[in-house]
Amino acid sequence: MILPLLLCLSLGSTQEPLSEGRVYRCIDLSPADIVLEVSGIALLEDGTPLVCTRRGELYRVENAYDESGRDVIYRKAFEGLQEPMGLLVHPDGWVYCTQRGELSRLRDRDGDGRFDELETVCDRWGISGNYHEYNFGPRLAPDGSLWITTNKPFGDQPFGVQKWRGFALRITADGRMHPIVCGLRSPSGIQFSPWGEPFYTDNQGEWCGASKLALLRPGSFQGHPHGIESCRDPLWPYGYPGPVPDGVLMGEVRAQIPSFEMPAVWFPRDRMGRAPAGMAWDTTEGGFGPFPGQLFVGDQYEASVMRVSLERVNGHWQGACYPFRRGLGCGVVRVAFAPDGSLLVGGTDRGWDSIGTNGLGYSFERLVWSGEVPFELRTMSARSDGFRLSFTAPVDRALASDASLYQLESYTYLLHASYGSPEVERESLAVEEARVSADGRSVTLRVRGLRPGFVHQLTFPGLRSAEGAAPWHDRAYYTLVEIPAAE
Amino acid sequence: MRLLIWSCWLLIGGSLFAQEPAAPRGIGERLLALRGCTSCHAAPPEVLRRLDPPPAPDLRNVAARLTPSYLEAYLTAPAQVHPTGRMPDLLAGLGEEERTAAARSLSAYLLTRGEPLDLAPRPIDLAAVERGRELFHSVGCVACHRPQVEPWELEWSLADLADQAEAEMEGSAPDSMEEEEPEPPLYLPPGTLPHPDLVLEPQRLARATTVPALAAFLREPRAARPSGRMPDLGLSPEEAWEIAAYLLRDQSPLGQGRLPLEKGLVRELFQGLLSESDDWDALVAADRRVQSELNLEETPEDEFGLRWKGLIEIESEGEHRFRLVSDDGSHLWIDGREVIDDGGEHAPVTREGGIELEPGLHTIEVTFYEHHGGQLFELSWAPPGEPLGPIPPERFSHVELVYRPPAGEVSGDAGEGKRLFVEFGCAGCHQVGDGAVDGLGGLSATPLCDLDPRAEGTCLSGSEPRIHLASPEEREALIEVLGQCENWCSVGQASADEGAQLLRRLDDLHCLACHRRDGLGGPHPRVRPFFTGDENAELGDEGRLPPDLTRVGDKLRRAWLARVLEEGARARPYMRTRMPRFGPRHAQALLEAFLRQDRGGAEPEPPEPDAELLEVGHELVGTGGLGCVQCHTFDGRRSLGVQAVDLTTMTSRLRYGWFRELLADPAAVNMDTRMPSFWPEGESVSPLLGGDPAAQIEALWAFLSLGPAMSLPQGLSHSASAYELLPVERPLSIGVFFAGVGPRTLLVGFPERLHYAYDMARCRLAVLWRGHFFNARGTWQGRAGALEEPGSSDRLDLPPGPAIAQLADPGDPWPVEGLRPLGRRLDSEGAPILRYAAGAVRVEERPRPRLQPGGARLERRFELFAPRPEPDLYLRLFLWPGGGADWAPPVVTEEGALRYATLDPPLEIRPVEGATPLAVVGRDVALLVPIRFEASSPGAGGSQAAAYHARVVMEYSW
Repeated sequence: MILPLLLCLSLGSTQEPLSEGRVYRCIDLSPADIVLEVSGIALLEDGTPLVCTRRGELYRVENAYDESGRDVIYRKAFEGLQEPMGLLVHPDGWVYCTQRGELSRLRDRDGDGRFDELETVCDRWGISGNYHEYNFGPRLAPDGSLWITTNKPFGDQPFGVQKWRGFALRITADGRMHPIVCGLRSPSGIQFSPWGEPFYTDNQGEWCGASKLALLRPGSFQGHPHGIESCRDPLWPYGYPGPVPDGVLMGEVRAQIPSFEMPAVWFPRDRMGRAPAGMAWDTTEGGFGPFPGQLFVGDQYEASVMRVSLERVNGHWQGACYPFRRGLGCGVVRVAFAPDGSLLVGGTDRGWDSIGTNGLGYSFERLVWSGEVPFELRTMSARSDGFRLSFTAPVDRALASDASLYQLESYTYLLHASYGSPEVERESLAVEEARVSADGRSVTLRVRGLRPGFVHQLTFPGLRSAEGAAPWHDRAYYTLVEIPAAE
Repeated sequence: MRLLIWSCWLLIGGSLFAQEPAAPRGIGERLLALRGCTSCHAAPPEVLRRLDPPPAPDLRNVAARLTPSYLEAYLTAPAQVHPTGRMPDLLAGLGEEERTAAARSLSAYLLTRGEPLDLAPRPIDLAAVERGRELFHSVGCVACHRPQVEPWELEWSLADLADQAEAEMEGSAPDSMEEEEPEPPLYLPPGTLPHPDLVLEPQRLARATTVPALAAFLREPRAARPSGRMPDLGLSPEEAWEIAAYLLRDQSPLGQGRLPLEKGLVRELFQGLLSESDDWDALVAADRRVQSELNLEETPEDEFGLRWKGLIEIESEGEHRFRLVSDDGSHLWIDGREVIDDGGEHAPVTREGGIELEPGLHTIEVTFYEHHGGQLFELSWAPPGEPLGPIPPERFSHVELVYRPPAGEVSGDAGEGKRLFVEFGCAGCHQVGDGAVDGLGGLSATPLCDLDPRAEGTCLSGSEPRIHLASPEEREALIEVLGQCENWCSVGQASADEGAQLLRRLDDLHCLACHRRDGLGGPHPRVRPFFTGDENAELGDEGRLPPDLTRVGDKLRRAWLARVLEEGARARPYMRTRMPRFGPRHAQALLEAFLRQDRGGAEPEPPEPDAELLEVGHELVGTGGLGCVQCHTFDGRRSLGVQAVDLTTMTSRLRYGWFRELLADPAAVNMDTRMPSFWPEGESVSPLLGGDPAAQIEALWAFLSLGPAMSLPQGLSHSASAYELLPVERPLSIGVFFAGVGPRTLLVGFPERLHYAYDMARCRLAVLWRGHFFNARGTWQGRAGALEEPGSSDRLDLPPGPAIAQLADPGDPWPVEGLRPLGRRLDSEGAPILRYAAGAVRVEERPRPRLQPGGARLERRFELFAPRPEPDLYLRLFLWPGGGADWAPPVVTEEGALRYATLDPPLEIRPVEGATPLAVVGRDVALLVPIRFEASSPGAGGSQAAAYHARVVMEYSW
């Protein structure tokens, strides 16, 4: 009697990983009668989400945390904004948003739930009348300034070429604008890390070989030459970045342009996504599952949320990205953690398409952790001679110690004028040893042939947990810019 | 025709000529007029007035209308070729050879009148024939002409019908009925007139003319037939072409019920397209080829469009799924229905759509558009129960229809023909545009009053009478009226009663084939199924049958009725049958007859639209009041329920007296109306104006009399189109790129239907416009970013540059910029108060519309706050650039407005408060207002508190 039962149990708990949708349930809040092309999400003091849309409307979303998602009420709070792409509830009581032509702030003077005053905070950058000149943010810096990023144009500029496109701009409380990072392409996500440093995401294209996450280091150049003539303006105190070489391996750019900022993470095309956008650090302390402190990044094409872990090596932030939750309603533009530990996810794919599933062209959803912990690679971190992998559950020691179970290869990208870069200089790396820790939750790989400036792609489909579970996802992509010194 | 006259005049006879033996005379008189007897047989002027014979066809351009072979055949034997024709056979009595020779000569002469027809074969699109069939049976042709299909056949495509015909010929149609059952007798409501039943025999038409010639005739029938009996339905060139293609289908294999199917779809390539919404039909295809596998072979890199057309064969019944993947846009239509809209400019986008299809051939049209960048096009399908895959090439086909008009020339002697034309009296009836011939009278025959119709040798006698009559009754009636002719010619009874005159005109123009009046006429039950309306209007018979004309002269305003009759103006867009346009001459006569007949008592004075009535009227029209918008459309916008006559047209069409009567008790005025009474038993459903019905009707009229200048009533739906912005209860705002203004332009639309564009960067109120606010497609669809324009051309452009500036001297040049944006506030109604700074002066500008007849005006209110009384500050209201060539000193109106009549349209600027305008004539002419600050009263201004304050209020009206 007992034997078959055990067999059943062990069969039931092996092989098939839990589905993404089971571990992170998606509650659809998308309205049918409002074109809610979410371009910004912020939370009011009481946790009520406030969203702005590409159509220039602001909505207060009531009953957003209802279990069924069916009792959500959208209350229009403002309209007539010009394609706002970011929203911030500021401690000063105003709601800030970045329109095409200005950073504005709004408030509700009579308390009727609708905003009735808009103040222009800063409009010192120009727009040319080109559709692609979006602005993202603002995000609040520890020093109280507001940061935004500006997109570069594509095509006609009926009102003439404008300055400060492809920049991160820092705007101080007096309304002054301080350009602070140059060479951005399509910087649709900007966020301060919990430790106070600004990061942004950029989309693959010309002069941006692969989609990436990068630090907005003041004075740095991110690779796109479109706007750098503005760097000759006295408002830019960091000097002209210099002529941009066309067709150089990413790792070699800094030799020619010292201010060039290597990314923190590259997102390999299609295996991760195509167009990273809004992001949020998991500050829920476990409310959102077993990845506290890590970064979650939406993708505008893939209709997915990706996961990123970062570490600082030799002063440079770098890390790995992992598949996380796909199959969402539409391209993800913004994500934000809600007070209950769930992740609000909103977006649209108007104008660029996505593989989203709802067919509406927009979505607003909530990802809720079920409480189940999947067997998953939690963190891939660099060592002087390889990588350390830590998992959410103990591994099958025998399998995990088998070095041949891990496939590792590396490649990098070109900085060049063509759209996107092929993965170049591809090589396989030999995993010489896999050592399992005493608690069975981590594995240290000794590897020959680490290359700085390269993505290191790891796959391990054969690995099993001690309980026989297949990994939830069996791969990770580590962007190795700096190699740590031996301990 | 004959039956109509018969019964029509019998009815009149019964009522109007009761003391006389009127019926035969009625019919006889109509025959005298219609056959043009008085062209040869002279009659006294009063008889001519009474008969009012309609003019005969105009032959000045006949060569461009009729084929030589038909002309000759017709003249040789009119009654055989065209049995219902009205022309007397003047060659009757000639020997066969002489007759043939004369017809040939006459034809040769007539063929010199106008450019000859092009008889070359011509390819015609099957879809055009299909649409022509639909139009012929819906726009009103069948009110008089015999329908050419049964109503149910319209639901089948020509391809299907050809299929069925083929199947029947093979005897394989399982359920084809062997014997036709006799039609059940139709119920004929009292007053039904017989259907005129004019037969357009397709074989005869196919011999007579060509598609372009028939289309030209249909577009302007009065040019060839000045009688107006063939009505001008205001067809577009395409529609006329399509109907002509349908009527002449016997020139093609369709005449034998065959569809010459060829493999593949026809692909046309259009070059130079910059946007998907460009007019493709205006372009000439650069390449035309047949493809069985739809692809992009041999297309340019960028800026082109492709269109595939033809038929698709369906084998299994049920939902067929289709999928398009394209970069940029593509669309798929099947049977004229859009199945997939993958439009716009985009990277590869996949879209799917489904449609229920039955086995058989269906029309298919696919378009593809490429602006620039990458290009991709894939069409696939999944028939019911099958997986997605390519469409097998053999499923595609198209029809190559070639029309071949009858060839043939005429060998007669045109000179001899011209002589005969005069000799036989043809010139007495027909114009030929030949100076030597026109104006010559007919034959000098016995005067009308001296005719002995029973004598030998007259037009009616012998074995081959010149006048071909349809029945012995008609012949008897004609003989009888001529027998009494002398009698009523001489006793001075020549003027008919007005009612009879009106009825004769209604008959002349076939009005009663569509309309009823005083219980007479209306569509014959046999053809009523062809009178259709837009089913989405949900108006039942009211939505498909032309309106009753009882009391129409009292109901409609003279100007509107004149437009209806003359231009075919229509108030009922949902009705497929079209009101013809009769041109000035016929319209005038009919109009006067209606007015004389229908207008009696004194017309009440309509109320003046004062502010209070307007406000109440606005509320009554909306859903908070009587809810007129529930059923009536508003300036083309859908109402909430059925889609009845547009509210903005009411007071320009209707007379106040009739309107009052209708509203008070709709069913008493029009038994068929579905309009409810709003004051059942004198109790209003709305408490406004004390619930007084008369006062509420006054308020309704006052508000409606603003016409398109009305503000949008409460309750109007927002969903007119996905991108249409409709400010109903509150103003609406949207930020856009705006042509001529800037990339940061705020558009604000108001329910009062006056809107503005504000340059947020330069703080400039830039453009005002009235009417339609804005369609946001260019800003909200796809990647968007269009340079937008106002939603209407009724616009006023305000001067460039800032509205406020400091000048040492009012003649100094006005600065180009200088204002700093501060943002905006919304007032309690949601209207923006625009805020900006001019140096230390804080400005709040509030533009707001004010209702008035002829279109709302704009009130522009400035509140200025300053820490000290800034001197030399000016507000610029308007500018006439370039030396003020358009400028002339204004006229001051009664309301104190400055009226500039030299502008087009004339502009009125009215100072309301704090404004003493000053015209400064320099290099340009500018209208300035000096700003005078006053110390603020303590506590005033609230949070805006400042030491000094100024206010300027003025209005623009144009």
